[in-house]
Amino acid sequence: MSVMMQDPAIPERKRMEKFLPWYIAGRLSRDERMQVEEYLRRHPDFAPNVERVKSEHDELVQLYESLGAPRGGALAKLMTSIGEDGVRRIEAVGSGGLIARIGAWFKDLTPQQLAFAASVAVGVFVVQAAAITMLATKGRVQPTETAQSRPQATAQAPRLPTAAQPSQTAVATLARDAVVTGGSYLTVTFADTAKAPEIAAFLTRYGASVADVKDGKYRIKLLDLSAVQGSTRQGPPRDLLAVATQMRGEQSLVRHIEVMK
Amino acid sequence: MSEASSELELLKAIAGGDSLALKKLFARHNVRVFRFIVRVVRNDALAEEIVNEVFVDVWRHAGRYEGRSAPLTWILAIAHNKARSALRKRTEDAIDEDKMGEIADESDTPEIIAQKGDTGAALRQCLEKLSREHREIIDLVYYHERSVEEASEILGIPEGTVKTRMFHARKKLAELLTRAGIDRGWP
Repeated sequence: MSVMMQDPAIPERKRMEKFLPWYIAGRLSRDERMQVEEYLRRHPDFAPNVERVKSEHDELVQLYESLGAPRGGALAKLMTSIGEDGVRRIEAVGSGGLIARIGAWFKDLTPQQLAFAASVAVGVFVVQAAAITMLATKGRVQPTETAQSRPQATAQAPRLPTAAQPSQTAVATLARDAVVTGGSYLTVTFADTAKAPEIAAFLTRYGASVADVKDGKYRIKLLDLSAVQGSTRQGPPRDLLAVATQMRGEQSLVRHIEVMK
Repeated sequence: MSEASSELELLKAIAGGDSLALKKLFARHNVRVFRFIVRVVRNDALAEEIVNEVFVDVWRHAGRYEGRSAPLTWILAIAHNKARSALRKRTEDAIDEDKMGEIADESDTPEIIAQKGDTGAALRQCLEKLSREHREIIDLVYYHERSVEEASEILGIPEGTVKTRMFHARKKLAELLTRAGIDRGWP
């Protein structure tokens, strides 16, 4: 009996009531907003509900405004934190850490696993040698190859430095058509005045990580950004020489660069 | 340029190691994020600590931001996770969050405030007395003006639960007000 006496409009009213907070906040879709407005036209007695939500909204905003704000110095503290973070990032990928991790990995292997890993390594070495031989042979039988007939990646001549660009005397000899791949390395000597956060920011800017540090020289690995999932800097492969030249231009930070390919 | 797209540019710059962009984003949102966190942890010093951690995370992970939601939604989701995990780490002698509402303070109760006729103040007192989950959802919708979808992303709950939780939070608020002598005629 009580079920029969229920107002069939209640489920719709409840649905509208659920919409109201977002209606007041202006965060309903156009369709949902129109549904609320249409309901309000048909049910003027629903208007006080809207007012009620509005007063909750207004009082909460007032409450929030009384909560204050972080004390002064919060920004300076953040800058210090990210500076330390930069140092930690460099330390984390430094030579000691890398070698220690590799050492730990080998230490955990059983003799059988070690033997299997060695077999796989030998297999990879053989395949790699065969591939290099094939490429070298292919190069010899096509002596008339032109820029047009070469693959796209190598047909694009790198941007050569102009007079306005910094001198490249410090940049070692490099094949002109090299592009950045997952295995491209540079050795960078930073200026004595370069600070750790600046070095960390430099590495982030160029999509690079430190492979090892020896005698003040940073061997850095450039990421192939075109292959990095979710990278904000995806695009065609980077020109290795251009990257090195651009880095060399940061004279306040970089003292010397060598390209290793 | 819209606010969202300019913030997207800031995040891209941060991903590239631009600390000035981080400063700009911090200046834009630190107060809002602080208030959201302080309502969860109810401790100014801890909230400040967490705000710092949130923006360090933004610095570290800006490159992972996929742009599926507004930058503020992404930041609030980080803030929510950090605040929750800070609460979990609290030692036993720390004040139990769930008992906060039971602690007597020297300010007037909602009942006394209601008797004085200040309905707004009574409403604010009752908003403070809601459970943490109810406070969070009310804050996100009313103050941070997050949509159902965004609140769902921040809190890590389904959209249907967002609507239901908001409904129950408001219902609880109405009950607290009724107990304080303010009958608003709902639910």
